[in-house]
Amino acid sequence: MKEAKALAFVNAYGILGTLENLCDLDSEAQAICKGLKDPVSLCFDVKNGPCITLNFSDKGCKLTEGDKGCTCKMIFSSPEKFNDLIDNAKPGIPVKGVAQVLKFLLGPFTKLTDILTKYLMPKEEDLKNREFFEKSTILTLYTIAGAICALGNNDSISKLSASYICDGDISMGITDVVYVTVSARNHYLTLKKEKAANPRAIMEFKTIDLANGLFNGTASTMAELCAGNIYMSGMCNMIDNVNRILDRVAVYLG
Amino acid sequence: MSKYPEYTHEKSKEWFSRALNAIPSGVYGHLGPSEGLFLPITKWPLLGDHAKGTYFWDVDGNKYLDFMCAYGPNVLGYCDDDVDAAAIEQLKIGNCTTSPSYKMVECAEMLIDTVASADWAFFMKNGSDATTFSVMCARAHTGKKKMMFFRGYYHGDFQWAQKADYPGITPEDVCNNIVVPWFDLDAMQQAYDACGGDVAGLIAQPYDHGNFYDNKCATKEQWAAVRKFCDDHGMVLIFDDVRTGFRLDIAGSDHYYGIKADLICFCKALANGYNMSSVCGGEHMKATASSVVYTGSYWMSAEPFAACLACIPKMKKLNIPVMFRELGTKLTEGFKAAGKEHGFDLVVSGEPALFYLRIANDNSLMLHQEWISECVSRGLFLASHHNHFINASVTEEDIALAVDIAEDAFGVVASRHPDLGLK
Repeated sequence: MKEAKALAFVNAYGILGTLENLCDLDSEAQAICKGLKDPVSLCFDVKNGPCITLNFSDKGCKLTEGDKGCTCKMIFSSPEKFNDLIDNAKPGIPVKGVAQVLKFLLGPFTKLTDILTKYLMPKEEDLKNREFFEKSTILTLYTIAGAICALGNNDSISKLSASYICDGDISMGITDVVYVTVSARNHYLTLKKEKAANPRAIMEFKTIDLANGLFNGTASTMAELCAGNIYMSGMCNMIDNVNRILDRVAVYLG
Repeated sequence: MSKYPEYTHEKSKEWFSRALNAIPSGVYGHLGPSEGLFLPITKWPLLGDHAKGTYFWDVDGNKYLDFMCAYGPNVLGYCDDDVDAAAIEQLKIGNCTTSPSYKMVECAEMLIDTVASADWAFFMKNGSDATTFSVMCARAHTGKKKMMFFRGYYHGDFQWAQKADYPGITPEDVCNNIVVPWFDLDAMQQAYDACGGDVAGLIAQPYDHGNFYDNKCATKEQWAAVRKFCDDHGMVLIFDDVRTGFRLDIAGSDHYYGIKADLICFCKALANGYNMSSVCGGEHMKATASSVVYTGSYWMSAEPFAACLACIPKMKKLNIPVMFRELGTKLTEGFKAAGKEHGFDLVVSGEPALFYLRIANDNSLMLHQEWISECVSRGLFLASHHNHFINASVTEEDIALAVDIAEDAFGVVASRHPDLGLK
């Protein structure tokens, strides 16, 4: 069962957080950013939920916590209302930079989220295009990693898993393609979208095809682990507990 | 450079590939590569062929000096002649029968004579069967609902013993579990008060022998305090001696710590690998045990009882707790010295009969995993992150061989990491 507050964090850090990477990877998204006359820092402030700002400029997108420096802001009276933005495109209440919010939300922001949806919920025929397939897999990894941290800090069952994760960095990635780091401090998880310098645990998928298969459920983690296609080392109990959170990610994003 | 050539595992791979096709995970659970943490999998045997004494051979014909002992059941040595003879003899005259063999009665009487806190014995097959029965007894005896656990607990894989974040487990399955730090009486009191005293009992292993951290031995004083707490609060004290049973003390690990548990669970070392487990208890718990509805298709089969009747006297005759302490101490001191030669800080923890190893040079355990895998691939079977087990077939020569392979493996790992400046 999904918890509304935890889902709001998944939507903020997992889904919207992946806009950062979309704007890096996808030329169409890059063009949208380049087309911005002025930088836009859009804050989503959710009562009893996350508060993030997406900072868009011609250089791309950067997520920051809180509302510092935002040029426009939408508030949501509950996590459920915010989740409605993601699921049903229902906006919150603009409270700052009202004109900019509506213009940006209905224009560039919708275009970007539409592109993101295309990658995160891909059609079979799109996946036949190798470039699309690779981008889709990479963006999915970022979304999953963001969701792991969001759930580990907010979902009641995932918090139990996080309570067993000791301090340190867990490196996750696809060999020579993309890496993320889930950093645990006092059982609080944060995501770094880079390779860990000194990981305490490593989980690495040998190929992008394997990663895609694991993400869409056509490959077996166990079989691939046994076949040596998933590299694991270090504090495996950290990975074990992250994998338990991954089970919850599937519930939330499935 | 290495004087022990690395093993190859071609047939293991072939068999494991077949296993993956036919069995989920191929080899699931602690004996398999996932839970067993075979890191990397290429260094480990995946399926065995035969075993004798403290050795087993994999399907490629590689011979392993084994300090995992099938994760405990091998207590006298694989294929012990006396135990096997008793079991085979019993098989010839009857095993799974409508009227259970009198051997069950003899077996119960032997446990009563052996285990200090036992006035009766109840039989089942696995450790999980035993711990589950104990928890049911605690609830039936007290009419209370919740069970207390020490953090990091492992009492088998039945739903109640897992955690809410495990696949297939619902929060409702474990909602009556209260987890407190080991021996923390204040936390126990707070947890007890928080649920209005609705606590049936405490189930715990004799000491904290969890994985991924140094094992922490208990003291008599700690257990005396917990025993008193349970008495003062009307809680049933259950000793989960499934893993440690008989290796610390033939009379039970509660006896080792100077107390009497209300219920004590045995499994692994009962019958040298024949499939049985048991819960023993005090007279005050006997009527409750009778009232709990609990049985299974093979629980009264005679063959394991015959094996147990041969195993327990032999464990007593050999005085395995003393033997295992000496062997475990000698072995681990050898390992530590071998590690030191190459600049490794090998930390040994837990009871010597169930020693736990950790290389402390890095905090990721990656060096430790490397060393373990180099030991395994040279014929010394150790586990990456689990306590080990001594068995009664281990000889002085075996210990010398184990230390020599360990030293060789330390050398291999050290030479791979010149940057660490280990010496």
